Parts: sequence; structure tokens; C-alpha cells
Amino acid sequence: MSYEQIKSLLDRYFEGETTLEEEAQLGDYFAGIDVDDRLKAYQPLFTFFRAEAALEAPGIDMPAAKPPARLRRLPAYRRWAAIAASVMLALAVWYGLPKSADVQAPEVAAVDWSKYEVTDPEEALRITKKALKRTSRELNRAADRAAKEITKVKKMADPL
Amino acid sequence: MTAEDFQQYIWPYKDRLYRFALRLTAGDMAEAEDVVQEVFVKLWNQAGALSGIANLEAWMLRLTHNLAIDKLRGGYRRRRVDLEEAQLPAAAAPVSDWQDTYEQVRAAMNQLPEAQCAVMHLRDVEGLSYQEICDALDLSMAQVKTNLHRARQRVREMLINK
Repeated sequence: MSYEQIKSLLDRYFEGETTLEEEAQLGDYFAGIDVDDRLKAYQPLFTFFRAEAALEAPGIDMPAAKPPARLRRLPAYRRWAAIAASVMLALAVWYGLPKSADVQAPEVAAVDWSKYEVTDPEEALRITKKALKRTSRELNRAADRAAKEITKVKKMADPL
Repeated sequence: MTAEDFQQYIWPYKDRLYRFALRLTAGDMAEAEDVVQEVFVKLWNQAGALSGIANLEAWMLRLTHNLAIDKLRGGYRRRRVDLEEAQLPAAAAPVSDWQDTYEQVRAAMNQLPEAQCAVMHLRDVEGLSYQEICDALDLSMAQVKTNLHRARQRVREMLINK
């Protein structure tokens, strides 16, 4: 390409009016050895773009089957502040808790359970049935919940 | 998503994401690697939701952009270098004119405002279309064109006045 053609393209490039194809033409021109002296000031720019585009990532790891948890590293002053806060909290709890010698077991009156005893066999059967039914319901609910959790864990292990 | 899927659909973008992160972190390689690694971990963790993403590349670029900017704004790592700082000191070992100018271009790019730098990188280094840049940076077409125009003008001025 002639100097005029390249100069025109270059002016349009700096105005942001060139297409990707025209920008590739400029890149090819400045990558060559026949760059007009009047345009040599722009050669490093296009050489830079080409060199940058060839850069490869050096140390990126492919995530493992289960990606490692990445912990956010706190700045040093925040780490020390966190440690100091933990110590203060521990001390506060230590001094705030009643010591074993100070603890007095509250006196509780003995409960006379005999007055709650069920004497009617029909009533006893009804209460027992109710308790067993409730136990059964709770066990079924726990089984459902366990099944859901297992499904979730399976999904986490194989997300797609 | 299996490891094979990841390798097939996500892994090929690692160099592009790395270059973008490197540009946004002003050439801090460790920081850029860290950003891309975080992007991949997030992608892996959200693998189930990826099927709903229309443009995966744009989504990854945006995530890279956001993470890199978060790190820059966090301020606990190296800040963007100034043009003067990036230039080689006079007492250093002799370098070729090409190297010197190359470093000046790099420094000029680093000196651009963040949005201009990102747009110029995606267009001139990665060869993305305007629409792809709009999608990746969540900018309007007008914003992309304005940022690109200003970035190129500034770099041109820096090259001419060097």
C-alpha cells in the first residue's frame, strides 16, 4: 500500500472509524519491513498490539474436580485486630461467667408424678398410639430431608 | 459441567482473560494470574447456571474486568504505574530503541483511564467488535466508541510527543 493509503487509514484509525479488517491491514503493514520513514513513529504501537496478543497465561491451573476453596487473605493489621478481638472476647467470657464455687444449685420442689399417671386403659392406648404416630411422622420427615440433602451433595459433586 | 466440558469450552479463553487482566492490573503478572484463577473457580462453582448465559466469552471478560478492578481499588497491591515510573532509568543497562519505545507504548496504555484502557485493549489487542466490547464491559455503543477514540488520541499524542 502507498503512503497516502496507509496515512489515510491511520488517520481514520485514530478517529476510531476503521473496521477490524482495516485495523488488521494496518497491523500487517507495520509488521513488515517496508514501513515509510514518515510513519515509523507509529510502528511500535502496532508491534506492541501484536506482541501483546501473543502473550500466554503462564501459571493458571485447571480447576480440580472439586475446586479448591480460595480464602481471602486479610491485610496484616486486620488479622491482628481479629486476633486481639478474639482474645478480648475470650477474657470477657471468662470473667463474666460465674465460677463453680459461686454456683448454687436452685432448690426445686419434688414433683409428684403419680397424679399424672393414666389409670384408664383406653386413655393409655390412645396416648400411646398418638405418641407412636408422631414418632413415625418425625422419622419419615427426617428420611425425606436426608434424601434431599443427599441429592444436593450429588449435585455439588457433579454440577451439570 | 465435567472437566472435559470445562477444558473444551472455558479453558481456551484463559490466555485472552489473562491478557485482559494483565492490562487492567498494569502488568502485574501475579495479580493477573490470580484474577483468572478466581474467574475459573467462580465459573466452576456456577457451572449449573452457565447454560443460561447467551455470550459466555463476554460474561467471562466482564467477570475478569470486575475482579481486576476490585483488586485495583482494594489498594493492597501495586498501583497502576505512571508513565515516568515505567520508563527505564538512565543508569540501567543499554536497551535498544525498539525496547525503549515498546515500554513507552506499554506505559502509555497503562496511563489511560481504566475504561479507555479496557476498550482499547479489547479492540486493538484482542480484535473484538464494538458489539462484543459493549457486551463484555456493559457499556453502550456510544460509550465504547467515545472511549476508543479518546484512548487512541491520547496514545497518539504520547507517541508523537515522546
